[in-house]
Amino acid sequence: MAIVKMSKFTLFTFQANKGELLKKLQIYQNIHFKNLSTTDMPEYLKKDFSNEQFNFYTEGIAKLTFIIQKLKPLKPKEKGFAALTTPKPSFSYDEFEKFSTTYDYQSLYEKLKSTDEGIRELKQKISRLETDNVSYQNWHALDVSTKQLSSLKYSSYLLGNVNKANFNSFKEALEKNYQNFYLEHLGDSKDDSHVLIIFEKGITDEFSNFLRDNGFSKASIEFPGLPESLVKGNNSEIAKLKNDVASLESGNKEFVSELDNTLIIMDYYESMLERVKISGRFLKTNEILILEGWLPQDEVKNLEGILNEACRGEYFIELEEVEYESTEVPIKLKNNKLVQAFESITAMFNMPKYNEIDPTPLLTPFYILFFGVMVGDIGYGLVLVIATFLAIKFLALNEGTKNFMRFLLYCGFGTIFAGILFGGAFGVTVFAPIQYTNPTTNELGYKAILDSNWDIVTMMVLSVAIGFIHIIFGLLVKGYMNIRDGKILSAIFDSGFFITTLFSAVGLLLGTMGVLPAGVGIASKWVLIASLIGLLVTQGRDCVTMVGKIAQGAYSVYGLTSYVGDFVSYTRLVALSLSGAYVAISFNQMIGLLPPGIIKIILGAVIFLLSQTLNIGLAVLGAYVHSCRLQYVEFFGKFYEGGGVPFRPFSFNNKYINLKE
Amino acid sequence: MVDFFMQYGGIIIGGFGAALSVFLPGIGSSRGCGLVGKTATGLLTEEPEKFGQALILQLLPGTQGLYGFLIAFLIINNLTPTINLAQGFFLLFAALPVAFAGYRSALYQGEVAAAGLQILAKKPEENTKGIILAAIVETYAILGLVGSLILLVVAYPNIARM
Repeated sequence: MAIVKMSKFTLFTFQANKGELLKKLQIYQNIHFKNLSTTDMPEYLKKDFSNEQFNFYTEGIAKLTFIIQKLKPLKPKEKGFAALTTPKPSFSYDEFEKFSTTYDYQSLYEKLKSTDEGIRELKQKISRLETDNVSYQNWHALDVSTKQLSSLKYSSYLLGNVNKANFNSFKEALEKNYQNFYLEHLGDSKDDSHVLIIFEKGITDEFSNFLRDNGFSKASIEFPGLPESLVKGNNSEIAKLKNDVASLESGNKEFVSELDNTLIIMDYYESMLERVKISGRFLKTNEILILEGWLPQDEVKNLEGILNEACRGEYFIELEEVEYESTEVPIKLKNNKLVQAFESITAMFNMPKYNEIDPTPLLTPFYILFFGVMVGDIGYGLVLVIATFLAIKFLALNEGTKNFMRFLLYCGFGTIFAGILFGGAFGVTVFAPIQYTNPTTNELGYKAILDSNWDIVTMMVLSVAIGFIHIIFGLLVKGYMNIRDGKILSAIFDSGFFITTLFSAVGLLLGTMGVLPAGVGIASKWVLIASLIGLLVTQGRDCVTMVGKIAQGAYSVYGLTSYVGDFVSYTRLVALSLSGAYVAISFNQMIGLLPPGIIKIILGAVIFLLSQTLNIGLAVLGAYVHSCRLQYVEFFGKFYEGGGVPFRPFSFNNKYINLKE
Repeated sequence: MVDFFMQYGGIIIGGFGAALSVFLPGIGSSRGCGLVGKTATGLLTEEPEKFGQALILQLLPGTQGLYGFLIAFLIINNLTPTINLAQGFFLLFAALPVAFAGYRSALYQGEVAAAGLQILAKKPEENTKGIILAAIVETYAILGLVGSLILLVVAYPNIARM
């Protein structure tokens, strides 16, 4: 339970051993390599990175991605449950490597590529024909081919466009200046009118100038036949081409069975690329390879075993303890199963630094409590517990998802616990053990331990009290860290004074309100004054000048007001809990309003299912997010900085396969 | 007219409070969710598999509407024909914190959540950070809810007894 102790190593071996060594270390998955830099190093040390290999594997990956893209949509989808429960195929490393290096994906790629190109060509043809059709449509009224028009003896013709809005004025101008011409309006597109003009052969130049000046532009279009028949011909051609495309596409179906194999090779290539990339972190001379990195302390023996095997004894290793203050050491957390499920919460904020402590075990009980209170319903808790339990038991999930399911499972138990306190299941009160008298009607009745009608004030006070404990706990953790590092005074100044301030302030408040005896109030007052003076005097101790010391001390006393905000923030516990509960209750009341009978049963069941599903989703999302916030802002703010580098061991890509030992 | 108002004013004003606390945060939430939804379509045309995570971001500004609904529910429980004008006004004022804090915070939260889609687009594994950022805005809607709750549950019973 805590941050795993690390050892740092520097390893020298011959280049010849590199392949075998990296292979073994990649299977081992316990080494985080340091990225060695060549600056300030002698010139004979060079980066060990092979562009050639890098290109080889990235190109392979690009081809595999292409195959997967083409084949995946063709594969029939597995039916829901089967798809979720089928585990990934298992391989030993040797099987994996042999399979991946002997499988001929290149020829599969070539085949798919050529069909793909064929399809693209056909599609281009189709789109060309379709554009032609569109332009033919614009001239649909033309009832003569251009061939016939050019064979006229005494006349010339022009096809062209006039702006739609100007068509009439164009026509008038023409009629005014010429007699011997024929003008036909053939059709319209968005802006233009399309026209045919036939005129005397002799006046061509002058006439076309006149037309141009009046806004006519010649269209360079030919009609080997009538537009209508041309469109018809194109359409039948398009249908034929589309058929060809479909048959090419369905031809790919015979390769679908290869998809699973391709995915396995994808894993192999990604892993090999990882191996090439990690080499970029090493240094080399002509003969020697230098590697530096970290591994968990208790793994050192195993590493030496691997080195003896992989390098046949030809290596030199230097091991050192990692300095406590080191900031570059990677951080690995190790916790029991329960706490492990909550590591993602810590990781989302920031990994701890090597000299801090792992906050996960500290936040876990509070997180479960917060989450439980915010959802606070026996029914919802049971749904969470059962659903996640079944998912863990029966579905083939990857490690991350499984962990998240476990996280929800534990939070589900918290929800059931809080639900028992609030007495509700799906918005219906099911557990009401406390006798009480209704203040307005004076009737005797039963209510839940913390009733959402009668105990809202108590619940608010309790929320703030939980917050008080949470914050004091955070301050205690900070004190512990200081004492552990031998800074007793810092522990007293930075934790002790704050804790006494908070306790005495609460004591004073409760004393004056009469909740606690007056003597406690008076004693608290003096403790409070002493604590404030203590803070004023000590909080500026890092400043150099006297003025700085005083100002800093005063500022930190002023900063105490932020604690008020912190406490108020915890009222979100009761607020979210009540809003979830009342939404459930009011949906149930809506069902109660339905007229009795068979409709009520059917419609009621549907409304119940939908509304409760919606509410459980919203409640869980809200609880997840706001529990995080209370940890990050209110709790971590008291003691935790974070900023450590997460431990990322050199390992395999196993998205699609399982690697056996 | 004055008599009418004295007699029924309490329930009318109180009812207005209940209505306010439903429709103001309701408008805010629908606009917030709408903004995120609109932004999400761009991302989803490229990467439809991120629908689930985008949906979570879209849901975040939706809670304000629920908070307002909760307060309306509590106000309606107190709306009896016998309440006087002062009580009615008090119920209206009790609705204001959740109504206004909910209305504005849903809009702002929607903006943060919509920006959070950028994180989802570029670094989907860090998506939760976007969710947390948006949730910080919600604090003030929650405080509005708590304020309304205190007015209704702590203070109102004393007023009602007067």
